[in-house]
Amino acid sequence: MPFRPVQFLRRLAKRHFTARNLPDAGEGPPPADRLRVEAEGEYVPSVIYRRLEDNERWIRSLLGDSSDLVLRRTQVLGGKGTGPREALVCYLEAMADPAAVADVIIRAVSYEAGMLGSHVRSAPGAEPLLLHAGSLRLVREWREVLHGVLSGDTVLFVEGEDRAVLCATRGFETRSIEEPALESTLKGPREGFVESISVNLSLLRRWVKTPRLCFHRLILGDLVNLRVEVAYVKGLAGPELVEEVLSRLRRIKLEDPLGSNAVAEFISDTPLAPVPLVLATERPDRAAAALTEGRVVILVDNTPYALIVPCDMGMVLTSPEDHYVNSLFAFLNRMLRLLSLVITLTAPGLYVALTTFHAEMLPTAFFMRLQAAREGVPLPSLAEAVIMGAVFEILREAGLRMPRQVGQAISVVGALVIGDAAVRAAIISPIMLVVVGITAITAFAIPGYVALVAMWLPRLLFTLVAGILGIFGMAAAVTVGLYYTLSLRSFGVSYWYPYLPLTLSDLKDLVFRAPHWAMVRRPSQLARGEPFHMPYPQPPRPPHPLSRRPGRRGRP
Amino acid sequence: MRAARAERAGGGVPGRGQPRPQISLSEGTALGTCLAWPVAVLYLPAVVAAEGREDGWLGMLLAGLVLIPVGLLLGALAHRVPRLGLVDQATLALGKALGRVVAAVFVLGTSVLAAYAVRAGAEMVRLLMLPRTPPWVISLVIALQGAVGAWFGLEVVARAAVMAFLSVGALLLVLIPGFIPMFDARRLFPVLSYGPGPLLRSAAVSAGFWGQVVLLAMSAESFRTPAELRASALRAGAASLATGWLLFVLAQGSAGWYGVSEFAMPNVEVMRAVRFYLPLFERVDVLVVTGWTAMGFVQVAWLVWALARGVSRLAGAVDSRPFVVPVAAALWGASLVGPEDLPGLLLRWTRVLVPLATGVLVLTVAVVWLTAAVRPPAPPAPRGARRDGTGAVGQDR
Repeated sequence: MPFRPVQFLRRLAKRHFTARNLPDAGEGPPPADRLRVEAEGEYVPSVIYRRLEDNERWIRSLLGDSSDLVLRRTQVLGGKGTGPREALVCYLEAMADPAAVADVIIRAVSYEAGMLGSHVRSAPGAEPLLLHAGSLRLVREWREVLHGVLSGDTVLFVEGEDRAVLCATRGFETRSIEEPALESTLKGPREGFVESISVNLSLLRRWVKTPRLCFHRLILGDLVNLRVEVAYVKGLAGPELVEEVLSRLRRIKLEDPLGSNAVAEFISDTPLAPVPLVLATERPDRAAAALTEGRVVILVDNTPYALIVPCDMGMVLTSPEDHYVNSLFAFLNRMLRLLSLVITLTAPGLYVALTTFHAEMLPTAFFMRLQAAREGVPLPSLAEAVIMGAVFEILREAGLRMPRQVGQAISVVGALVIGDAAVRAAIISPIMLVVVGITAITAFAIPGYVALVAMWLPRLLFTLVAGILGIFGMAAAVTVGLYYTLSLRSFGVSYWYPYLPLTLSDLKDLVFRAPHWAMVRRPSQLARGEPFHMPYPQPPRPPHPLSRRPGRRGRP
Repeated sequence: MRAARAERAGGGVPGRGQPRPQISLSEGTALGTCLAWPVAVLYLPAVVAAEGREDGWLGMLLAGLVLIPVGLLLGALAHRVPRLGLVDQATLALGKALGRVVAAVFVLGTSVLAAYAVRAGAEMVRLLMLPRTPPWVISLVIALQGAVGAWFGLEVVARAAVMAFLSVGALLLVLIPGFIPMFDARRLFPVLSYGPGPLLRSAAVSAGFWGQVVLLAMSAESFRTPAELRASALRAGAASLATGWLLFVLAQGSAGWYGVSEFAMPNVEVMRAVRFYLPLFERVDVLVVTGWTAMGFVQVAWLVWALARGVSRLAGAVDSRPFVVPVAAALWGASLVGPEDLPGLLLRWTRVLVPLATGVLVLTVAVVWLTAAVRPPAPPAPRGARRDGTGAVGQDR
């Protein structure tokens, strides 16, 4: 067998860096013999006990006798001919809604159950006693009990039963639905995802009202029990894609309370790529549109973002606003964005290259003016560009972190003190300020904060290379960057798709924004089972001015 | 068709196993165009005009005829020995020892053309953009970027070729009308006033450049069918020839054959005289050369990949990545060998070495095809099977 150095190094690295003996991510109820929790030096079975005392002792030891743990003894009716049976209600005060617990669980169990009389069969089916609870289910596993209690649910143990009833009484405070901060639109909906994953699920359901919309729940990490929901439309998303997403998520061994970005880093094809390979969006409409294209959406608890995979360059460069304005304006906006991308990446480098190496390209009058403006400036163009670029990035970062009032002060300081004073002191040339200003403005024209931040590294590299080798160096750097981005894949899909390999039909919603009635096909690389949005183009058919009956075309 | 495109884009094949690299017809065409065009369009006109005088434009057109047999040869060989690159084709058709010798000759010829491409690009950049920068620095940058492209694999280079192809095409569409005010058709005539000698000599030199599409044989395994390989070669040759010939005709019509033969890079010199549409730039040649440079970058990346692939297969290795950096370094060293001045480069390398190397490459492919046609080889072992030196190639990067 031939020696393959690259594969050998990969195997070596994998062997060296892979942590061992970590538990796998849970998915729904785990097998009964898988969960072995060690407490006080003894192994216990994963299923709950029949004796109430054992369950109480065990849950106290599991939750560390926490101060917000509420354990309340009560009684429920037994089966036909039997007397009342002891029961234990357990919930976390900080997570459960006290009113719900009191009104629904305690009242239902203690009073209404008694009033219902002997026709109520229960305990193995304690459900009829708890009809007032919004949602309940029987559980056997400690893992499910724990996850429910830690999520704000209330669990009811009944003496002699090896099952418990889990009632949905979650009542912790969550942020209300607000307008997205980074992806706001003028004419689109104003709803954004919030930190509560249940609310986010409902937001998606409201947009995609089909029974084919599936949610697949995963629990990541034994310590943080991070809830992740994988959403897809059955029949549209390729089964291989869904399986790949699930398998990557299952491989995660997460023991820190991290959010969607951590999950994105775990599942990304190239985690260190400076461009987003997993798109984070805070807009339900965008996530819903991705679902109907055959993509997969990942919701992570406590994070107001949904992750969309696969993510290609077209998704990064398009804005949700495009679908809420006229297609012609949307097309023009996209062209402006592409132009902005080119300008923001290359403007400082071009300035440095032109002033340092290729001054003969410029018209003489312009060149003389430029030289006059630079007169007395002690720094070379390259140093000017790098310093001013760094100053701009620092101002941007500082402006983001500061409160709004202070942020305005930073703007004043940046504009007046650094800009005006530096020019007056002849530290930098006014042309450089113009270049930095154009670079900044065009950078903000690109949708998505991640894309905005991702621009500065290649821009800096292009500027440095342009300062050393002129336009030739820039061309080389751009080509290398092109190679790199062409090699990127997001869940098997080329990052440049559908630009390269070129698929003209898929450009309808990327370079152009065709009218909605003309977008017949879904992206061909995703929804291969159902390639059509609609059976045929449906252009509007207004009645002919001379027609007698409305809606009919042609002359009467 | 759509399913095939989606397959190539990776749709439905996510995750661990990367699909076998495949290049489409359009990507193959762009790759084939990038093989000779960037250098040919710069240096060839001077040599063709010097050799062919007024008949140079006819000679260049005549040389286009060589493209047809070359394209057919590639297709026929791929049909005889499918799903393999040239080194494996030669080994399979000619036997282990002789096949490796023939393949080594092909790799050697490729390395000559690659070294020439790096050197010619470096000279062009030095002359037009960076006159005070030593050529070895420029060669190093060109070879380095080629190594990066080759490292990422053939698919990446092919897609970059499409982008370069489209960019340069757009650039030409903008530029060519600028030539027209200076164009005088009388400078193309009379023809054959010195007999057929100049015509044939200029055709021979031109054929040495346009025939470089034969290098596509190194990536024959990545085409879906032999017909696509053949079509890619023919289309690439036609595109290269058409644009190169058009630029030559415009240059000769603008400056006359003598003027063209006096410049090292006549197209660029003529372009300097073009008044651009907007008074934004005094000189557009730097911008144009930047576009050509980008295409040249892709050319070098492809050549580095082809060399690394050839060397790796000769060494019996499946993965060509470990060979990329050494090959690029060797290429950089080889590009520094040779004449130190531009006229010397034109005289010896452009006029003699390139046609000679291309002729050897075509001859090599013809030998392999002839052998395979006379004595059809056994079909290659399926992928993943144990190789005995003549089996199928494995996963290609």
